[in-house]
Order: sequence, then C-alpha cells, then structure tokens
Amino acid sequence: MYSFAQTVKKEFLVLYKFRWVTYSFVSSNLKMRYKRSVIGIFWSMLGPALNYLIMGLVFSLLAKNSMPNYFAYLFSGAAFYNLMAAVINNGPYVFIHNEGYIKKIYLPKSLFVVNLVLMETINFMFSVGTLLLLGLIFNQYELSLSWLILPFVVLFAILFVFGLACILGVTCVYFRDINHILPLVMQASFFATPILYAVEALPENYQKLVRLNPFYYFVETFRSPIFLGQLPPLSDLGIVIGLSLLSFVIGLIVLKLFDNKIIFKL
Amino acid sequence: MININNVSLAYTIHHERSHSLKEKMINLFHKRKYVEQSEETFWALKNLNFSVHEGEQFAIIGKNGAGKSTLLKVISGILKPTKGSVEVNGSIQPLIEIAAGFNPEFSGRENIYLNGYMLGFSREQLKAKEKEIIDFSELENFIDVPVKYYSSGMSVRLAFTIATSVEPEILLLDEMISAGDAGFIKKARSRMESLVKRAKGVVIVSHDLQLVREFATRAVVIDKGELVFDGDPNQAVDKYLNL
Repeated sequence: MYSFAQTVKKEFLVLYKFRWVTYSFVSSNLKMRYKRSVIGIFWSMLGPALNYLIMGLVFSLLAKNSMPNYFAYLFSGAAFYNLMAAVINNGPYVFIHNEGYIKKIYLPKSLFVVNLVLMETINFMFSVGTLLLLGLIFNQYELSLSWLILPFVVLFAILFVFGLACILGVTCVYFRDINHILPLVMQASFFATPILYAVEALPENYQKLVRLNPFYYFVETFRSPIFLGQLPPLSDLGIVIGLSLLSFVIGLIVLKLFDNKIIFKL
Repeated sequence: MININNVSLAYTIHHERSHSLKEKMINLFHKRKYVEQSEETFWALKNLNFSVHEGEQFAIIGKNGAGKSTLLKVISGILKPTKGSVEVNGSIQPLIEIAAGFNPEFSGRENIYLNGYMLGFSREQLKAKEKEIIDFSELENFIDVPVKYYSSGMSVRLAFTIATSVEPEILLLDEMISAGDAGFIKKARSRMESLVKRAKGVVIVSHDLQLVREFATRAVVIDKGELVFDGDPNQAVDKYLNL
C-alpha cells in the first residue's frame, strides 16, 4: 500500500515536470480539431446538442411509453457515457500512435494517457456545459444543490477511464486484435446502458442484468442530479468510487509493469 | 559523468511482430503448438562496463548491428537495461532525428513548442528561443503553416534547429544528423560545433572513422554487444578495421 502511494506520488511529480508537453499537445490538438471550420469550437457545443436532438426525436417517436423531459434524460446520460466511451475507444491507440515519440525520447508513458483523457474531458466540458444551459433555458429541469456532486462524479469517471485506457493501451501493444473488438463491445455497452431508455422500462430480470454493467452506475449517478434534481443513491455512488479506484490502481500497476517493455513491441 | 555497470540488454525477437489473440487462444487449448513459437532472446548488449568522464569526447564504434545505437538509447534512458545499471550525473540529451516526432497536422510553431517541451525546456526558455529557431531554420513565412505542407528540406531544417537548441551537459550524437541543402549544411556544421564546445561531455556513435580519429579523446569498440576495446581512438579504429 505504502509503495503504491509512493508510485502514484512519483508519477504525479513526473507528469508535473512534463506538464507543458501535455499543455501544448492538448491545446494544439483542440485547435486542430476545429481549425478549418467557420464556427470553430462551437461545433463541440452544437454538434452533440443536435445529435441528441435527432436521437431524442427518433426514440420518442419509437418508444410508446415516452417519458416527460426525454431530451434531458437522454443527453445527461449520453454525453457522460460518450466521454467515457471516447477515452476507452482511443485507449488501444494510446501508445501505438505515439510510437514516434516513445522511440526517440524518454517520456513517461502515463503522459500519453493523460493527454487523451484531458482532451476528451475538455471536449465534454464544452458540450455538457452547453447542453445543461440549453436544458435550463428550455425548462427541462431546475438547478439544484445536488449538482455540486457532478464534478466529483466526472472526476471518478476520469479515474475509471484512465485505468482502462492504460490497460487497453498496453494490451493492444501485444495483441492488436483489441482495436477490432473494442468498438463492438462499446457499441453493445451503449445499448446495455439505460441511456435511450429508463431502467424501469425493462422486464424485471433484465433490470438485474443491467446492474452488472459498470457504466450503469456512472450514468445513473451523473444523471440523477440533473434529471431528478436529487443526489444519487449512496450505494450507486459507492460502487462508482469503488470501480474508479480499482480501475485506476490496476491500470497504473499494469502501466508500471510494462513501462519498459512496451518499446520493444512497438 | 556516465557510469555503465554490467549492462546487458535483451531483445525478444518476434518473427511475426504482431501476435494475434487467436494464436494465443488456440495455443492455450491445443497441446500442440498451432503456430511455431518464434520467440528468441537476443542479447544486444552483453555485460558492458565503462565510464565516461567530464571533458571527454567519447566515441562508440562498431559494425552495423553491433549495438551502438542501442547503447546510446540505454544511456539516454529510452531503453532500460535488462541487467546492470546506468548512472548519469548531469543533464543528458540525445540529439535525435526529431522529424519523426513532428506532428504533421500541427504548425511549425506548434511543433517547436511541443518538441521543445519534450526536450525539457520551460515555457520561458522556449519563448526566448522561438525566434532564434525560426530565424535559423529560415522559415519566417511558413512557421504557422502545418508541417505537412513543408518541403522535405524545410522540415529537415526545422527538425535540425530544434534538436540542436538543447544545451545539455552531456550530448549524445548518433551519426551526423542530416541538415538539408548545401548552404544550410555550412551553417549547421558551425552550430553543431558550438553545441559540442558548450557540452561538458560528448558521446558520439559514428561510422566516420576520420571523424573519430580527429574528434574523439577516447573510443570504445563494440562487437556483437560486447566491449572489445576501450582507449585511444587511433588504436580503436585500427582494432575496428581488423574485426
């Protein structure tokens, strides 16, 4: 335990030393993403909003028992899920795509994972900020004190996907199959997570099955303050914290174990 | 400044580099190997011992595949030795072919910063160096253009200039890095010379035996990962020629 705390501390110090690499990598990448578009960064705000509008329209037409404020329900779950999915889907490439750097110069491997997580988080902030504001303007829900928990839920989700990205990144260096399997798994997990539908709409025995899906807990804890205006159940929050710490710890251990070996397989 | 203690480094060679999960799975279930397990351990460096002292211009020579570049990577920390240890006192920087590290979508200026930070510069240092780098690489009009639109000469000039803006106490050189057109090569040479002069110690890997004779104050010869000579550069070159 003690030595793990030391490892984390050391890793943070190293990352702090290379903080400007992260800064310039993330800022250049964000700039690049919207460079040739007329309204630039607004796309990251507008894009998801329009996307959820389309999905909302289609699924509220399809679903018979449509719930009130379906849009708010949909986007609060989907935006948060997409943050996690974006990091996870890019996880396998986190070392492979940085081969050029890894082979030429010493950089801490966790730096590449941090860059990925940070970039997606910033994108998420833009899109979710816009969506939350739009929801308030269109009276989909009310601001409540329970929103104060949202940053912490995001923080735990970040730890969770950081760990997963470490594991996926290392695994993919050894088994290049991962990047073919993963999008399918993520596609399935999107539908297995109550984002388009409410968990109550499922038959009883399926509801139990959904509880085996880790994303369920993250999405529920993030959605509850926004959609219901109340804090998520403590048990759900506990599971979120547990899963995040577990993933973070395992991810970091895997990364440290393979830190010096990855380079030989790239 | 640099102590190499009993350093060995093993590569695991995979004849098929990307092992698929399928093969692994099938191998799990079959007693018989489905795919010929084609792993073998190759010792690129074998039990090396030497030190580089302050003020030395240290050359590493050897045939192709002798392990010279691997050794340089071990010294710079990119590769960790399988056995033994490397101690380095002082800041160390390999002069690398940084063009491989360019992100083609980023502008020249963005690449200066990204690569500069990777080389360990602070924000203030880079701000101070930015103009000098742009001037020296003669890219005033193109610096905000994505590097993918650069001619090969332009990106070589930029890469060279960034790579040579470092001011390490110990400088590591792998061969001579390329420097573009004739006019630039002259400029580049004097920039290299002043870089070498400022460094407290230089480690160079080279095939240019003339350069080793003139430049080095000490040389080691490496053959098949083993140290076969350590001492006077002229004797080292002779030893190398008789390998």
